[in-house]
Amino acid sequence: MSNILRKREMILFITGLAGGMMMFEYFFAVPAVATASTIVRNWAIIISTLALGLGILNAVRLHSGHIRKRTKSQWIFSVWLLGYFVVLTVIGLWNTKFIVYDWSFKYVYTSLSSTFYALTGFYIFSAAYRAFRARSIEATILIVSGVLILLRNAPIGEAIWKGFPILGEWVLMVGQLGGMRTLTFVAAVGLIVFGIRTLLGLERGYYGGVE
Amino acid sequence: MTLAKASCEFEHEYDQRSKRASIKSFEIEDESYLYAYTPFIRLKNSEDILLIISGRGFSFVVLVLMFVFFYVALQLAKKGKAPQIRRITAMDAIDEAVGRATEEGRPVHFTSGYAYATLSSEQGPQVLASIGILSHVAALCARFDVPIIYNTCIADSLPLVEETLRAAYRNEGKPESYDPKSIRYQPEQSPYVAAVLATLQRERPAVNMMIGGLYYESVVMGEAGNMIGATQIGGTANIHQMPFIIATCDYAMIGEEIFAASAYVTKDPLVTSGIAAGDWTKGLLILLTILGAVMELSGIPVISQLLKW
Amino acid sequence: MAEVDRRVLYWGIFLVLVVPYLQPLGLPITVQETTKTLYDKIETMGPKNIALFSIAGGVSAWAEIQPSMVAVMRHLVRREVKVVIWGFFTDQDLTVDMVVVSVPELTTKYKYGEDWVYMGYLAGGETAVAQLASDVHAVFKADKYGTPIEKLSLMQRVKSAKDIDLVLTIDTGSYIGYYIRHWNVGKGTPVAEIGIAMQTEWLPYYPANLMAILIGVRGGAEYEKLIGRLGDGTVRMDAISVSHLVVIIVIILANLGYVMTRREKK
Repeated sequence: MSNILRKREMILFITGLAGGMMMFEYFFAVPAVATASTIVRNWAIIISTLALGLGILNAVRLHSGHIRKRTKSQWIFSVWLLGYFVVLTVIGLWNTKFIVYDWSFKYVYTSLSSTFYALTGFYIFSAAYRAFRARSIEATILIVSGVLILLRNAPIGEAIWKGFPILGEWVLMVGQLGGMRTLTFVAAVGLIVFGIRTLLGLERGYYGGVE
Repeated sequence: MTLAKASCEFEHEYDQRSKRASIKSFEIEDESYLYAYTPFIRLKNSEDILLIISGRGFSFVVLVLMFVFFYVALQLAKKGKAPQIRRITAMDAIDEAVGRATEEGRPVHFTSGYAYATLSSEQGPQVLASIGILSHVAALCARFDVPIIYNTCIADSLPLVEETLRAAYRNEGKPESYDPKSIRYQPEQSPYVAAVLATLQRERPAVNMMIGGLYYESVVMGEAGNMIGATQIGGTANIHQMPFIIATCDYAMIGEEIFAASAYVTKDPLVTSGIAAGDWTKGLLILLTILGAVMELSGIPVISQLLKW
Repeated sequence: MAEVDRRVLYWGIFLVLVVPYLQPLGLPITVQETTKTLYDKIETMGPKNIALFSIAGGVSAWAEIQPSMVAVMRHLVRREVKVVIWGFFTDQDLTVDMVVVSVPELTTKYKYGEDWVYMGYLAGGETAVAQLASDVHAVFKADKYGTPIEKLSLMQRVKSAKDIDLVLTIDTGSYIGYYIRHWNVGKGTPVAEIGIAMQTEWLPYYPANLMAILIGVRGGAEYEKLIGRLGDGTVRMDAISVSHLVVIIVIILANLGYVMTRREKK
């Protein structure tokens, strides 16, 4: 049975059926197809949630391997991760309002997440310093546009000169809008082409090239 | 738009004096018919009537045309007249990058981005395209015995990635070299970013590939890769991340290039003909855009009305 | 000047950012049209209207979206608009808790179940958003706290997208696109976004499909000015001003260094 399910034709059949049903439902008002699509979408939501369990298994397998092999610079963090995971899982299943659980999310997870997000600012700063060099006319136009938008966003731009927000607004709402629409447009067409290739079975990468 | 006649029921008032009926209200029985904001007529005694939902008719026509273009391109490819597609520099650079990793004895790092941690989103196709590119990278790594590390936070892509890597090693005749621990999962975006930074700092891969549904992690991972001197290949269709990919990566794929890339690596004319079909569609839409703009400015809103059909 | 150690840059920007928090500059903020339209829309709403607060951003983005979220919620509560909250991020409970703490009227003036509800987390991305547009009750059977949906009087008025008068999506990515496609284009529901600075990619949809967009900290600061209650957004704008100025100066210096290096090589 598993050999039949793993065959390429079965994979393509399921992909084509699900994809075709969704496309049909999007364009045509046929209640039976709409109901079937609703059911399939609910299955997709359930599968997404179940997949979290797969992820947990992967993480546990990986980190227990590190602990077993005492991987240098890694194993102690794996102990910490798995230990914390077990503690929070047990407490969470028992009582999510318990102080340790609540505190971990409110004061540890939130702070760490915000910290990593804040890293972006620093890294953008160093990337801008390194990459924004006026090597050509196009690069110069890019830098000037970027500077105008920075001065439009920050109140200090208006404090320096009242024209900066006006110019920055023009760049944001007119100058770059055409390019932005083009990129959206082009990416969307490319995405649809990829979808059609997948439905027609021409896209082999995503299922591992199973024969 | 209806493809067949349908009867409808409505309440009406009949004025005895003028002998005229006027419609009082539509009776809508099943609201699942209401998909758009134009009212539908309740169908009675209908059999398999297909109704194109209002506002989506033009999209349907374009989609049908795309399938036609696909068919034409495939037929041309079968006759040996496959349309030529330009080189994608970033994909050509993958071979060179993996070669560099082989010489330096350092691993290759590959990641598909955050992509909302699920395949069930518009980021899903980017992740699938990324996995298609991964199969090519994994084949090269298997061939040259270069370790590959894959970090992800997309749980539902794990079976696909495992199968892709396993198949790559199997096809290269080295199934025993496949290490399941090369795939590393972390839930959510921030832990995933932390794990990638740790991988880059500790294991110092020679190549860092970030291709897929990237979000803020693109600049963080890109700069971290720059710090360790890795060759960086990036690609995403997310517009907000394109500037960071271009600024931090040595080779970048933007927009639809990542969707074309997985076809490009196969070098199979039947597969790459689809890219040409997409270009023909773009050409048609560009033509419509120009025509529509000119006609709209001339006060003839035919194209804009057609788009709302 | 052309090649400065990253660590110097990072310490420099960190120290520079600390200054406005210690000594606020108080620079004036001009309200953009993209923010004003949301304010005007909510000003036309009242106790008979229902707004949807869809959380599609994690706690990591609080620095950017918190001021806007709190300011808009304060405005909704002031206008006595009913609020339905749901979201797609696993850490959204923290976000809801933060909003409730910041806008205490949600618990003091509003009655849970009648004036506002929190339906909880939903996995599934665009699929889920599409489903919710057609039938909310098929997706949510109970709220976050386990109360059956039949017992929530507010949710008896909300069956699909047609029953929502305004969608506010707190977004750090693509969920605004899902709401535009399935709620606005599909059902005609007005959609507005409270987003991070990178959400300018959705400007092409303004104003046809996206009625308003509050971008980053600036959007929050502008909204605070409009509702007449300044908060974190206004405080952070000074830091934004200083950091932007520093970035511009550093880019200019880097380019000067680059030009001088090129001349030396010639």
